[in-house]
Amino acid sequence: MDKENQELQTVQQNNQMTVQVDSDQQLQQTIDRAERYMQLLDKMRKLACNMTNTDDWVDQGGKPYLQASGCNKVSGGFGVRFYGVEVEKEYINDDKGTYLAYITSGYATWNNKEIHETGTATSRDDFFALRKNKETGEKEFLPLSEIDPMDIRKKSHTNFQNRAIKSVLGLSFTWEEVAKATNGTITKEKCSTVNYNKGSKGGNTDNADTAKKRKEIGEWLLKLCDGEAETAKAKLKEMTTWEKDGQQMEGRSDLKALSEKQVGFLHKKLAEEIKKFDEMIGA
Amino acid sequence: MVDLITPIYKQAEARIKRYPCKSNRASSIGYFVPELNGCVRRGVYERTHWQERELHSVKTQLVFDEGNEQERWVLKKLLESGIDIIEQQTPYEWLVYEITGHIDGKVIDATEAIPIEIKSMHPSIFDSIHCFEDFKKKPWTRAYMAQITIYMLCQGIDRAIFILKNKSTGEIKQIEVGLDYELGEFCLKTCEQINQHIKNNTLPERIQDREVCKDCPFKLTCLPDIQLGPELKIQDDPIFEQRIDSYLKLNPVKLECEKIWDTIKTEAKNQAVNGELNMIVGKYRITGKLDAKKAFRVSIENCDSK
Repeated sequence: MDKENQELQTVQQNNQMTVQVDSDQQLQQTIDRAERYMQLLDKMRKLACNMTNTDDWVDQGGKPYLQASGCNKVSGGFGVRFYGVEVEKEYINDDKGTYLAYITSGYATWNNKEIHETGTATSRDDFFALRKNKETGEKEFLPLSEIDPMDIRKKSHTNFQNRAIKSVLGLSFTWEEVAKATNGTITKEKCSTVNYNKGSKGGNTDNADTAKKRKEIGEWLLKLCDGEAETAKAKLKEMTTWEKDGQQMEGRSDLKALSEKQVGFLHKKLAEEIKKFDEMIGA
Repeated sequence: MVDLITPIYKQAEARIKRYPCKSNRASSIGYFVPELNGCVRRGVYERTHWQERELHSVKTQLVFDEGNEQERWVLKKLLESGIDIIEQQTPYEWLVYEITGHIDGKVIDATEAIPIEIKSMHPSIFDSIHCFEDFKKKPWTRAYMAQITIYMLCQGIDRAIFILKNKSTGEIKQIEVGLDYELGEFCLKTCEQINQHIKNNTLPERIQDREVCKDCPFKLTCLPDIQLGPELKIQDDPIFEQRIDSYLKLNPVKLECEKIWDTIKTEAKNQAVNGELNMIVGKYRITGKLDAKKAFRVSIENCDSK
């Protein structure tokens, strides 16, 4: 054995993790293989984009966000496997009373990659928990006895699956990548937008603090609504509905339309909600 | 404008409820029998976790309502046609197997009262069913097989009649059913297993069939390992890829070649005398004859290359 090969062998024995090549030809083969693998991964991402349509995407602060409907399409096409799924049920008390939370956790695997993920939902979710009090006209939480726990359980399971799919398939894109992958079929302009950069009144630009808060509100709403833009808009409208002289004033479903004062108020309210949400999923 | 639809949907929605289940219902047993591609675990859940059953949609409720309406219509028509239907909606109980159910009615044939079961269905399903075996095609029609078998066993009768109605055209037909003892045994064995698990407070093993699991109303309770479609494999195999490249490159040529060959064969066949051909065209000698399967076989040789 020549001196060069002896040195290589010593390095291999000392460090199992180091990729060793003993010739230029082998090095080139390794590079070629890696390049081909990267190309295949690119094709896979392209395939994922082409399984969706414009309704499945939403623009979130300039970045594309794949909604639950899109996750379902992609997971079926890729054959993501879910296993070891468990559901925990928890009753939580706060100043508004007791509410029910479901936390679903489990594993997802695809192409030898395995991830652990968590999803959650509570009986405080607007869409199965709120009703209008006929006497006062105010929105109030339904008593737990009037909510179907299985609806909450189902939502927590959906939330888990969507998060797991994105994580295991690495579905994170820029708008340029989405447009390129779909030959311009899906672009930022064709998708719904959640914009939180500017105030609406007089087209004034937000100050740095308000812009940051507006952006965070958008992100939190989407997070709480499982990435569903329409649901997030409805929640925003619900949260910004208010009363004036006994008359109900319709809320805003567009973040751009919120005044600076509304942004401040809503940011504080949502910060509490998101804190509880994160605690629940152990984030 | 006045909304006429929402109140109807709301009324239908109000009928969607969960009910306690203390027995093995004859109409559901087919979904639990492994031999009918069912799941015993679901049978246990129906009785022990009925509060966790996923509720069906309003649209499905409307389908059920429509089915009930059509059943009433068929019974009315039978009566109007002078056919006596006895024991309508009579409940039955088979204590040993903890089975309950109710039959739609019985008709008198000769001296025997034969159970009838009325089912209305989608036109395509209706058209595809001609005998008892044909009920094996869909999960819910398999459940019909178990249901009618249980009724026959329950009452010690070895025949029954399905009356099927096409939901779209109103067409009706009857399918006569003889007692399938083997199926009956599968059903009763499944009921015994369910009863035993409930008694022991245990659960049967999960099945591994995503087609069954995806429609199960207890999938959120059972939480089976699930794979949504076959896994998409990413493989680095340049030789395999090149082979596919070559195939796709040559395939259009192959198709063109086959087209020309078909024309040559047709021309050759037209030139044949008494099913045989022996001719020269330019530098080619063409021979041909009909084979045993009456296909005209052609062969060509280049005389210049000899």
